[in-house]
Parts: sequence; C-alpha cells; structure tokens
Amino acid sequence: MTAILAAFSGVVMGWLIQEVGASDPRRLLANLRLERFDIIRFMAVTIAVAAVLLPLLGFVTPLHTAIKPLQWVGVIVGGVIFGMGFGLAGFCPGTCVVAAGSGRREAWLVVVGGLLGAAVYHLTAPWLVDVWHRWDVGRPVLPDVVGLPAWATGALLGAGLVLAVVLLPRGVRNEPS
Amino acid sequence: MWSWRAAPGWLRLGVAFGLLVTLSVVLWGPIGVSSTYHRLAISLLRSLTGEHAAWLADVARMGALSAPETWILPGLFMGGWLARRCKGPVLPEERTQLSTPWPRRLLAGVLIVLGARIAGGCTSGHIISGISQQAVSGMVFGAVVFTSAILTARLAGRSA
Repeated sequence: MTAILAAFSGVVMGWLIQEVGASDPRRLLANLRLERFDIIRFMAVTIAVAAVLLPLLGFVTPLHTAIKPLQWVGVIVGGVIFGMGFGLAGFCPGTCVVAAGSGRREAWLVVVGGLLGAAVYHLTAPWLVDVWHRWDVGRPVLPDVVGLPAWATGALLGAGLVLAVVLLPRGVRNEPS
Repeated sequence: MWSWRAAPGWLRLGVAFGLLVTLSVVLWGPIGVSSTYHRLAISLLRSLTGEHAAWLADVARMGALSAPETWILPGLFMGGWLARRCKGPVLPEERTQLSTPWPRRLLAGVLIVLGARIAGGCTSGHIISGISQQAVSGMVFGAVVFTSAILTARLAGRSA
C-alpha cells in the first residue's frame, strides 16, 4: 500500500513539476541567475502550505514525520557540492527524471551522472562517511530552537515565506505576470 | 475581481504541491528522491562485483531497492510524461534541445546526487519535505544550496 502511495505521490509531483516548468533547465537556471523568480516562488508557496497545515493536522491524526539529522559537515559540504551541480545545468535529482519523462533527451545524461555520483559516494563511504557525519547535533526542529509550539512556528514560517514571495521582484526579465 | 483560475501558475501549483507534501506526511512519509539513486547504484554495483558484506550493510541502512520510496522515481517519470502528453505531441526540437553542453550535464548529475547523499537529502527530501516539517537541517541545507547554486549559475552563465 505504501508503495502505491509513493508511486502516486511521484506521479502527482512529476505532473506539478512539469506544469510549473521546473523540468525545463533553462527556466531553473534563469531563477538561479535571479532573472526570474517563478520556480523560487513555487517552492516557497509549497513549503508555506505544508508548514502551516502539518502541525494543525498533527492535532487530529498521527503524522509520519522523518526529520533528517543536522550533521553540520555533511549538510554544508553536501549543500555546496549539490548547489554547484544545480547551478551548472539547472537540474535536481527529481526534475531530471521528470524532464526525461517529458521527452527531453538531454536529461538522461543527468540521470546517468546521478547514478555515477551515488556510486562515488558509496565507494568512498568507508573512508569518508565518518567525516560527513561529524558535528552531529541531532534532529532539531524550529519549535525546539525558538521555544514556541509547532503550530505557532509553522504559522510564522509560512507567513515569512509568503512575505518573501510578495517581496521578490516581479517581472524582472521574461517573467509572466 | 480576483479569480483562482487567473492566479499565476506558481501559486496554484505551489498550493497543490504543498497539499501533496502534507498528504504524503499524513499517509505514509515525506517525499524524497536522492536515496533511490543510491539504492539503484548499490544494486548496479552489486550486480557488477558480486555480493559483499559492505553492500549488505548499506542495503540494510538504505532499504532495499524494493523500498516504497523507490516508487517515487518511476512516478516522477510518469508524471512528466503524462503532463507533457496532455499538452500535445512533443516537438522534435524539444526532444533534442541542449540547454548546456554534455560534459556539464554529466558533471552536474554527479555533483547533485553526490552532494545530496553527503548531506542526507536533496531538494525534495531536505528542502521541500524537510523545511515543511520545520527541520533545521533542511533550512541550513537550503541556504547553502541556493547560495552555492546562485554563485555557480552566475559564474557558469558568464563563461558560457
């Protein structure tokens, strides 16, 4: 049943990514060059909606949350490397699969590169995994950090993201209104 | 008068994606993609080199290839296929369009998944699902990724 739900989530996510244009690497690169902001806005709205709703739903139903650990070395080094790849070609591990599905042949090479990247990680893990896991401070969440209930921090986070969406420049270059 | 149908795509689709992320956490768990690349790579390496104790330990940690999350990846492919076909046939230039040179795309693929595995997640697992669950790790990862990506895209754009 979980596999069916995961597959269904993937189909809907793929549909939304294709519809919003995030599977087009030129569109993502334009966002990363700060020439347009539609995909950044899309991500901010997504997170705002879920951040507000999840703590509220937590009052009425158990949630299947999974908080990733904050291992400073891995998160920062991995984030820098990920960002370099993201900024080089305008693809993420998910959007390249959506792009391949949509018919963009160029995306297949990113998928192949992704498998090579996973293999590099795997083969170097015996020596490096302890380095990546250094400075592990557990799995902190915003309510722990600021000392407020999750529904309040979720609302504040959502409001902050909506404010960012509103304040981002509009129609800078080639952006539809 | 404001109309939902006339709202920009990023707003309508962002709300829909937010509801999907919420529903996923309620029904089965957060959406994540990059771990499937790792599981696929482990399977390919195993088939090339045979069984090894280290592989088995990794499979135990990552979950086998048959883990439910693996199904997100074919789902993404299908979603992209369906959404594009609903707009009509794919144009030949769309199929063959090259937005960046091939060595750059190959290197980018290596870097995004290598970086994601080092950090323990990617755009979907760390940034979208992570920040939605108010995880500080997702916020740190998101800030680092966008700083690095914006700098790289601007530098690479200048050199292209």
